[in-house]
Amino acid sequence: MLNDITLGQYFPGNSVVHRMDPRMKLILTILYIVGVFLIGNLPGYIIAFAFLYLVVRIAGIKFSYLLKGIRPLRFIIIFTFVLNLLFVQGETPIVKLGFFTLTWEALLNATFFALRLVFLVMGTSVLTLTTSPVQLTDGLERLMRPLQRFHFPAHELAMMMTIALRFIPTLLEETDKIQKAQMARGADFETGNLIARAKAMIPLLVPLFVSAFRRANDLAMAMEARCYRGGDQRTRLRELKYTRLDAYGAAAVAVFLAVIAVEGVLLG
Amino acid sequence: MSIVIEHLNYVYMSGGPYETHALRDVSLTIEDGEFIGLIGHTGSGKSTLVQHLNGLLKPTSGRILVDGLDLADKATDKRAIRRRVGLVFQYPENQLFEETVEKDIAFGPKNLGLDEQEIARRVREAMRKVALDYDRLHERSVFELSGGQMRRVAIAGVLAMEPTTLILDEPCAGLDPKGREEILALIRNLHEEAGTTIVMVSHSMDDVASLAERVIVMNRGEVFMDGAPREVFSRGEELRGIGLDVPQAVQLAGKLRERGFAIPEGIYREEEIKAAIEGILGKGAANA
Amino acid sequence: MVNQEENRIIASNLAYAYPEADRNAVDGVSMRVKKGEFLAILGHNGSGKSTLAKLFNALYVPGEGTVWVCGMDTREDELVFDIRQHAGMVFQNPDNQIVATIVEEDVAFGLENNGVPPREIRVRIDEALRAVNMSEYAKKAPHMLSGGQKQRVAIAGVLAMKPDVIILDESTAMLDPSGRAEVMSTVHRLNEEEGISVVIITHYMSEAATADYVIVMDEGKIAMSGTPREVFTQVERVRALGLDVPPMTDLADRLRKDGIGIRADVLTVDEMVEEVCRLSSSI
Repeated sequence: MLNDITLGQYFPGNSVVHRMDPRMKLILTILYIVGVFLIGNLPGYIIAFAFLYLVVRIAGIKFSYLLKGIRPLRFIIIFTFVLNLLFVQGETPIVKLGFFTLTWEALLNATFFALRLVFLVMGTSVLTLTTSPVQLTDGLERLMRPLQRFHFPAHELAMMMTIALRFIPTLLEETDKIQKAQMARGADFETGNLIARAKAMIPLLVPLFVSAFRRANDLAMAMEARCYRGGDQRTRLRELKYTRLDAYGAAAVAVFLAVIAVEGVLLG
Repeated sequence: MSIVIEHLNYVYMSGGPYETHALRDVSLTIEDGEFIGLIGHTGSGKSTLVQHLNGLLKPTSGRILVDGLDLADKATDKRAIRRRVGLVFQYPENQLFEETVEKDIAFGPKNLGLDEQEIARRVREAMRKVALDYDRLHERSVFELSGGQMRRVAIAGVLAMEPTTLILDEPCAGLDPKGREEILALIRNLHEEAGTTIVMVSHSMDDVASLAERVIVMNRGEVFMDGAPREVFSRGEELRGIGLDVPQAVQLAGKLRERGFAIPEGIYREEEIKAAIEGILGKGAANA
Repeated sequence: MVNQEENRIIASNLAYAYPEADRNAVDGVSMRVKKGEFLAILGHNGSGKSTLAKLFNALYVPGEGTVWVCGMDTREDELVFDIRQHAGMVFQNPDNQIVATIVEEDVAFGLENNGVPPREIRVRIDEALRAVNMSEYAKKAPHMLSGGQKQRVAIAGVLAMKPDVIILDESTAMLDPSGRAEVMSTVHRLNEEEGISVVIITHYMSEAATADYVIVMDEGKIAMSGTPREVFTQVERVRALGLDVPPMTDLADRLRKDGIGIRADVLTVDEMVEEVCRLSSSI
């Protein structure tokens, strides 16, 4: 169960992609995803895929690792695909099944929509796989910092994210343990209808919440003991600095966007 | 009536970068009425092993028979296994969830589908076995209790399943000396009075030495030693070689032998080393 | 007035009650932690020993009495962060005190809070990780470490702040024997080599036996104090306080009850061997 969650998992490394500034990576990821969403034909997606593949190779991550990240979302992807297939109006029918007519437009639309989701997940996975969560929140914090003038709690949000990321593996492990402990007492999490299953979650959720609160309490005290006092006058181990790498990265994404645009104009 | 483990292998996260061979070709038989101390350092596979004994983990290969029932067999009722083999996890108080002590202990028997009367009887009986006063405590919230009491409620929750074999993973972890002693005493009682088969996973060689009749040592997923405490603890060098200690009585016996004293081989209990020293010095040796 | 120079922590008539509690958790404690001292505080659960530790770090503020940490009164609000920097604390649960998702970034946490310049942070965390033998894990994720390793990371986090005192609040309670040994040898080394005072809160007698001085708490008060030898020799008294004595002390006690004239203050196996040799040669 632990190894299924690619989204939000960092894959340590020292590649060019790893060493880029998280702020730049955040911006470029967003630009890449926007670019992908604007694509309207199959060759465009092939280009997008080629670009992503290149980045993943440079980062030294196995592509299969990226695909694993899609698995938990496969139902959502299939669901949107089917939804689009059913409800998009089109003019070029392929097959007729009673009331339902499958059109070429609907099929294309559905495919593109599903592909967008796949690329959305893979694109953000590249970001999270090559950027340590701390750097990521650092980047977010600093990108959002101008908003602090309007009392936007940029530091607090970043801190919360860091802690959440830090405790995900701990709580997953704990969930597994409590679940087994209750199963050892004859609890059944697997059979029964929806209501029975929901009820069966109580012996799991109550101890989990109790433990989460206790951990939160402990952590708050530990942070206090280590002189935590909010974001003011805090320094960081890692200073964020844009380097040449970031310029290359920005250039690469710019080229990608340009290619997509040209390709879009050419093929309509 | 026994647990038979044949050529058990367990690999987790197989295929990934963190693939771990947690158990390698483990074959063991646990006879009825034994008291087994299961030792080994963290990551030696002992926790993984005990989770196989009541079907919480499925073997990658090999098989486990509990009273002749094959755990891998789809026809085997999981609950039939869990009422035979009770497992108390490390820090079991973390699994408590009900509003009252009574309800929490009743959770297991309820899952077995027993009638109210029987459940009530089992709750009382389980509380008696862990030395918790039913009248005073059954209506209390589990979260108001002391750490030691919470642990005993959690153990009672497993005892209420009335298993013939009880496995305890580090039952004394994190308790203060008094709490430790209370838990060890109740485990001893379960074994001696109710005749429950006990498998106790422990890091404390002294606890194992004082209670167990058979010691199984795990190392890197394999059974490293298996025998009477006397035999196992007499192989101190090998135990130290895999990062384990021997009981202090054994250490003392060894060092006294090095100094030329005639200490009988196989001594591992404080009682025995005391007798041996008294043998050397003679009871009532003059105050020096 | 006690000499502030020679003492890292001074507590005088200290009392503290939790909100809505009907009795004091710490009740009239006076004690001190000397420069370079290794002090163990023992007591059964609920004896007030952890509360006392938290008073040393200004996590709790005394209800009555005073705590001075390196001469600073913990009741003065503006000194709180100075005090926490001088008296660092390591807690019980290794999982609940690591903030960051990368080891070295966690070690940096306290320094970042105190506004230490990044260049200096780098130097100090490298030193701190080296001091606890965790340099090779600098880039690892904390949840991949063993309990003992996590606690050493927590110690490094405190150490990077250059403290005068390190307080370990039952920091070995959730560890296995090898993890406990790692933590104990680390703090002993810091105590001996760097001269940092150490306060360990524990209920492992074997750990307390290695301290310079032992305090036993009961009902919020100091019930016993002295060198480990002085304290553990009083086997009955220690037992009555819900504690244990080291196995060899217990053995000595039982031999004495059988009329063998062995010394009562035996703590270790080696001392027991010496005693048996001494007595047998005098027969």
